Amino acid sequence: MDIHLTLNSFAVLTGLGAGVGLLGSVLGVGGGIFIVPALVLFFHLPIHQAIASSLVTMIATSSAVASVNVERGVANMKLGMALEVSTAIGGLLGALVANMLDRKMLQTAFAFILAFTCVHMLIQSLKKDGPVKDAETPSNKMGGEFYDPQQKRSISYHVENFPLASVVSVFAGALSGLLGIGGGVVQVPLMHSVCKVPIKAAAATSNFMIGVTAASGAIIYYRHGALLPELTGALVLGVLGGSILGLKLLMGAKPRHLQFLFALLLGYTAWHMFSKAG
Amino acid sequence: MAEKDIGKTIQKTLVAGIALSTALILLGLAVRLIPAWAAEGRMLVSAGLAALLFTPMARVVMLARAFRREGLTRYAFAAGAVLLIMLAGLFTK
Repeated sequence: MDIHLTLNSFAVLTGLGAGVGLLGSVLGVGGGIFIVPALVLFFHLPIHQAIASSLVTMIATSSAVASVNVERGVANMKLGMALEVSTAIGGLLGALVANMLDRKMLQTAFAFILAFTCVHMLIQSLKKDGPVKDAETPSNKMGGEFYDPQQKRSISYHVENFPLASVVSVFAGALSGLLGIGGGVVQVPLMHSVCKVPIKAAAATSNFMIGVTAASGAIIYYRHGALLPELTGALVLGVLGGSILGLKLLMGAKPRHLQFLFALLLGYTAWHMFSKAG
Repeated sequence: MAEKDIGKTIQKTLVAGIALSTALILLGLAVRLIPAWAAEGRMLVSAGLAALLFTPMARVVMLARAFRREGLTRYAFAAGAVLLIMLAGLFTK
């Protein structure tokens, strides 16, 4: 099954994708958290198909953003590659489990992650913006170094507690494969708080990893016939355009009031998903 | 300096993957609008999505080669493991 793609629906889907891509880069969250509910609530798509499309669009945005970050050296490819072993296993298992669950159970699970992201974003929006001061630590084997234009200096760091991060990353990957989100909501705080990686490097490394994590899950959905090519194709074009535009417009600023507003919107969407599942 | 070179290689791989898939999807959707060529259009879009699905895999392969070349054997093995996991997904149902 695929939706009948007219010029009209193509425009709507590409527009939705562009909006999601733009929002994702402005709010610093992956697109999945918006794409899945939009497809389920407005396009009445079964959630499995919505998740499959979401995962594929995330491969596109992750690859586009990562291509900039790896060149600048902000994404830590050694740490990313090592943690991808865990997220790929998680992504594969999560997608396999999702394909065993029925629509209602999966929608309820998605509503929970929406509610969690809503709270997370509310807290972020209420945080005061202090100057970022990263400690100068000599880099160990897995650590790295990048230039921070805001602090106007190179920051080197080392990676701590890798085994713990490795275990938790399986969970982040499973969330991605199960619900069609990137997993950054787990991965960024994990790398920053547990591995002591500076926040910018943690965010860039998480984004770098999402392509592999999402692809591991997407392959399973594809094998189960849940990927709708034309709908996903139109979405991919929109999301790519939107996120590139967002990156150009934004240059690292994060508008707090916008985060607060969208946290409320996510809360409302979570409630809507709960009631639709029930 | 070596890490910067690896970054450049990975950047090229990712950009090539996105460019190929975007071109195929765009072409496919355009062809799809011509009623007589709907099936061909759909195939092109699917090929574009397949290119997108394989882009992270290509990135992992390129990174494995780069790590091996730099003597970072442990990370090259990690990349190999990731590739195996993704390939396992292709044969799982």
